[in-house]
Amino acid sequence: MALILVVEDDEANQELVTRFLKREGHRVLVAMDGMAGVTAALEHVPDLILMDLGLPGLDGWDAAQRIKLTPKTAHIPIIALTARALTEDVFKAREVGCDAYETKPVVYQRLMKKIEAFVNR
Amino acid sequence: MRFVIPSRTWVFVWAGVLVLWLLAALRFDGRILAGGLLALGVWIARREHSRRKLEKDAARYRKLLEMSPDAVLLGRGDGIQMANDAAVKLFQVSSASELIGRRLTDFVTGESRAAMEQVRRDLYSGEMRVPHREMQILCSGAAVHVEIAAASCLDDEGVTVHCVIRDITERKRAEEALRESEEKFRQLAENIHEVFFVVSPAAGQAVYVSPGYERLWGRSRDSLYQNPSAWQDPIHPDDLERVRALTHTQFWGEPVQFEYRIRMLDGAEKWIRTRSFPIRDPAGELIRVVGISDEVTQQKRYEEELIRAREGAEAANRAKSMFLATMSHELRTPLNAVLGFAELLELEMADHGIHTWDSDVQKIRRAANHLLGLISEVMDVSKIEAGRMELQPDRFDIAALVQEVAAGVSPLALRNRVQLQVVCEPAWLYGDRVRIGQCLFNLVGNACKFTCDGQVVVEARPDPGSDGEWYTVRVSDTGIGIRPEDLEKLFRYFTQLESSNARKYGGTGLGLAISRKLSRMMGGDITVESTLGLGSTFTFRFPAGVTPQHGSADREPELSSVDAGSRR
Repeated sequence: MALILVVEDDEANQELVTRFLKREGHRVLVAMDGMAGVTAALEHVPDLILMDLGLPGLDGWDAAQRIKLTPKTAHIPIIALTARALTEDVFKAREVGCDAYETKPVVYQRLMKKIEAFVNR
Repeated sequence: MRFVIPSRTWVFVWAGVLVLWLLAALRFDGRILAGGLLALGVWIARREHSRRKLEKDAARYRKLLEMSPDAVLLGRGDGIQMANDAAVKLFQVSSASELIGRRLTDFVTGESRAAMEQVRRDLYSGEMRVPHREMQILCSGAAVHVEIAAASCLDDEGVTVHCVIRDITERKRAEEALRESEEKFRQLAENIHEVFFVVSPAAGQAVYVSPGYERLWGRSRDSLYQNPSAWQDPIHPDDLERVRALTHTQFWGEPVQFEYRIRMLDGAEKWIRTRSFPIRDPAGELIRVVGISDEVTQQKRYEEELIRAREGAEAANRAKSMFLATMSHELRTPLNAVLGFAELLELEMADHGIHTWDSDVQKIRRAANHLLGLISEVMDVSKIEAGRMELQPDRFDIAALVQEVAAGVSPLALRNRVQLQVVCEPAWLYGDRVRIGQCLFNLVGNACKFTCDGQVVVEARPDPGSDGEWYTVRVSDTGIGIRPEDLEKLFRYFTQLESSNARKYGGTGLGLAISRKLSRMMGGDITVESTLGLGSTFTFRFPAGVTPQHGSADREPELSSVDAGSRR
């Protein structure tokens, strides 16, 4: 049982990930864009952040970088969600401090296992 | 006229002095006689000295005369008295003696004869010098252009005429040739359609402008000769600064070419192209700038139309790319939701112990995944066909990439009971990791797809002898194999060899075609060998050796999307 922050702009994806996380017994916070994500992370200090990289306004990489550069939130693991594997996106995600990534289409059961591994660490 | 005492008078003077002196000496004493003899001795010695000096001088002047390239003649009223070697040569006689006693006027031809007579009259009537005159003389029948300088002097023997004659035939010929070439140039310049001009950099002004100017510019040339800056007046104000700057460049001795607009007196505009070149003297000094100007209004119009057309095409192409990228994103987003909800449905039904619709949900997931793959590949094909596929080479670890591909394919291998073997030494290569990975994923995926209860071997190694410049990955399977006549069809778009295969094995029929195109974009290739029923070997060869020193080694992918457990 952990507090997970989901930064995602697409409503269908928000609902999906929320339902999968709740099914696993986690509590879920949702932010619609990068700026809201950074604010929510600072306010609630969740146990893990799921970060969509292609966000409107402040994008996922910038948001992740800000969270990792803020002492209060730097320790929170971030799993990035990207449209394509094996790309520049993944390198950039690692450079800004993301801890892992998942490619879309997301296989949720695999994502849940990954989250479990971070939360139980 | 100089006063000259005749020498006979001197003899009487001297004789008188001697008689007076002898009378004086006899009347007085021997001392005066001795003193007189001494004075006489001194006088004789001094005379001897000056005689020798004169002889020496005469020898020197003779030498100079012999060396002179110009003919030198000395004459008197009764003809030529002396002639040097150059004169012998000029008049083409065998020796100087042939000239002695003849008159110069005998050699002068018709036109020059009157002038020569005038010179002669001037000289003998006491004119001391006659300035250089050009004449034609006949030398053994041939007319020769000469320049004659003469001076006369009067001494006790009468008037002597000194005459220097220079052969100027060569100079005349050169002058004639120059005049002819100038005439040719003038005719050419006056008749060409373009405007030809010559500018003096020192004066900063045109020294010649061909008549074409008046036709093309509709202005007179006189203004250009009169006013050094008149050429600027017709130039379009927007172009003037640029043209001025370029004009300065041409005065530095650079060849320049520039285009600008001019305004006609009636307000019409013309585009002019001017090219100019420096002309230097043998010492390398810039002496002239010459150039040609011509009207290029029509060409300019075509150019502008071409540029507009190209800009239009580029805008259309950008719009198409934008459309593709947007479509790609818009198509994927709902499909991701379909896949996600199908997975959720399957899971929640299982939570409630319902398995009635498991296979239906599986079909939804498979179809959606297939559609996603199709979208990606169609996007790739559009990019390749539009020439917009760009490779982004960087340093990467080939072993890590091959492992990642193997891990991605392993669920399929597991399903088909295929033993997947990977042989690859870790090595840093330089290439587009994403696209090389895409090719590998396709080849290894196909091998596992078309093999059942068999073996797939992936061997990746540098080409022997290529010094690391080339790398080859061989993917061999023990699958169904391909008929020889079908081998090349494999690489065409939307080809799966039998339509029943598509249903049985899935796939879009685009993957191999895309992979081969990508490999060829890299400069490499994908080839295939196969035996029907026994299996196939695909060989992917690509250049990989251009490793830049500043490569980013820290870009080793540590993030993994695959669970460690599924790695083989």
